Amino acid sequence: MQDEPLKELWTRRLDGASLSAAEADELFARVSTGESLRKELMDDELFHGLLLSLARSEADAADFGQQVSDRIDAEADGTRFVNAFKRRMLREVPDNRRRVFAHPRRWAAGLAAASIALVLGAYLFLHRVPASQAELRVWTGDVQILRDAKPQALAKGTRLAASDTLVVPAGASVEVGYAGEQTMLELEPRTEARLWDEDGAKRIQLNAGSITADVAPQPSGRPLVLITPHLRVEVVGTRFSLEVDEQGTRIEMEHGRVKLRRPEDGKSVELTAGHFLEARLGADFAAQTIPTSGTVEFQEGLNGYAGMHDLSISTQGVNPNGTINRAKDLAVWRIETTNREKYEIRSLMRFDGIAIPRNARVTSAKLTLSIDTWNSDWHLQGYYVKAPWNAAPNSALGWLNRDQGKPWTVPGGRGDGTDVLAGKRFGIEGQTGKGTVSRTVELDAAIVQTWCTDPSANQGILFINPLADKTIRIFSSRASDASSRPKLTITWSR
Amino acid sequence: MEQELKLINRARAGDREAFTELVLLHQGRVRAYLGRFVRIPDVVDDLAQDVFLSAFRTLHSFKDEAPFDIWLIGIARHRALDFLRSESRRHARLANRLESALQNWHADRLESETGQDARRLAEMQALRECLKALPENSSQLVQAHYFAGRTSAELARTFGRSESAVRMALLRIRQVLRQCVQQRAVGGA
Repeated sequence: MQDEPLKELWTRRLDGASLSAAEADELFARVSTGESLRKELMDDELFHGLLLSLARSEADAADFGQQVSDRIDAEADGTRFVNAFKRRMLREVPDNRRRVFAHPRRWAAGLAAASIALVLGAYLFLHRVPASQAELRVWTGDVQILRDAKPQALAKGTRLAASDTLVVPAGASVEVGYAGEQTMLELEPRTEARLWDEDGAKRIQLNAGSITADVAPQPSGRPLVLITPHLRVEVVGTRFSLEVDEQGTRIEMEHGRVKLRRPEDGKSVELTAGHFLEARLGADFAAQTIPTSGTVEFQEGLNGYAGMHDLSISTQGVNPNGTINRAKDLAVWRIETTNREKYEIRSLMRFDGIAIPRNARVTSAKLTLSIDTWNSDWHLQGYYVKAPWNAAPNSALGWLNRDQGKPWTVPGGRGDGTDVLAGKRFGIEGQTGKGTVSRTVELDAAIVQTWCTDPSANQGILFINPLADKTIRIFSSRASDASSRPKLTITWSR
Repeated sequence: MEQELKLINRARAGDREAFTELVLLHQGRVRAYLGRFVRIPDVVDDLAQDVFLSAFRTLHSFKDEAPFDIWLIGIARHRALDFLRSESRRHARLANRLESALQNWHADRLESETGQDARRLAEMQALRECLKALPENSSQLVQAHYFAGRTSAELARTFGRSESAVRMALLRIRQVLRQCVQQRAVGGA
């Protein structure tokens, strides 16, 4: 080798360091074009690996021997049923034979029974499900199994072949298990995975999405291996959750321990309960303690949040459905005593896409509103909406309908126990009316918990003004000043 | 050799202790052979376990006239080839051209070594002798890095040198060892 910088790159690579894309490209270009250089570098890598393995094999020969022995034991486990059956047959034959010769008719019956048992045994043996072959257990939504890009019919117990891709779209979920053991995998919405058997060991490839795995103790030497583009996870028996996106993979341990390996440099970390690790560019490949509590805020346009839906529904134009309004403020009032038309406006507000860490419990939830009113002794009532409402711009939502062909049980969405949750409401009030004020109200933590864990249960809040002729406006998600927009603050712990 | 044949026959008859003794006798060579091509020690061990498991399953097909370690190395060569080709494809999928190409070249080289398993074993034996013949400073560095598991950064601090200097020193030592092994293996052949 003549090129010192190139040698430096090469030794860094051998040392397990990550090369930048430019450095890898340079090295690739040089070794691709220079045959003698390539041979020299590859010879060097062979000797490097040889020395590493030589040292290791001298240090832990006995451990290695035990590991091989354990794997042979595990393989023997797989045939335990068949061997037990054989032993039982051997034990029972002498007794049967004695009875056979004493009673010829029973001999014939015994022969027939033995034949059936043998055929049944052979059938069970030939059609046995390897413990490492995944089966579909429970699913919701439009889950698909793609085999050679063609969807397969789904049924409980459907076995996944090595060429199958399990596709879990948004709004769907699926549970996968394994015959004869308690291992259970929950694949969450927007997940694609392949699950296959490799020499009796479970393998899972996850390129995108989330999975929670509750893994029963695996046979010695045959860990369940979960592979993402950024991480290789070897699982002996544990519960953990794992999320994959384009930037990286995050794994959180609930109990047990797993061994993690970063594919590009082989760096290994053992992750234990209460810790997480993120395998992504620029992040340390190291275990970190999982926070036990935290606070998250959702306010349209701030910190990347953009999931709020809010609008007003009115009795004006109630034939056919009442008007809706999406302004910078949400009107909430009931006009009774003017000479003009009597009418009422209520407002709906929903924070979509709210999330807290997996397995976290909501300990408190607060809603902060900027409210504009010039009326004294004002009052607002907030109801937790139960029935789904369609916030899309051209939907049929209005005073009478919550969606196309789906009327509110009571016009204006006030059906107790049908449109809104029965017996659950909160109030916001003020004594003086001096323009804009900020109010923070405590929400029901248990209800907000359901919003986080089940997005379909998150239908937000209906605001009603019970006092006639007191006009109140709530700054909406479209308010010019983002800090005036409604803010949901959730504190969680685990 | 006679002792080894007895162990093989006992293992064929289902004696697990005899097979474990065979594993202990040959694990060093199998792991070192695989380690030449596979850089990650844990993967080397996984593959080596596969080799012995496969040997246990197919012990009946082993012909006594061939050396047992050559038979094991033959199994190891196939395992390593499968692994290298698979790694090459995986790196290609990840658009990692360098690693994909290196794994592929290693696989090509391994395929070209068919029939040279005895020579590879001889080289491994020669390496042990060459390690003993290293100058004191070089020997210290090799022992600390490869056998005591100390990183280049740790060694740099210990010896008051830069990490780069330590890595380059190890590179030169590997060159010396390679030349030594070639001379001894050729001389011995």
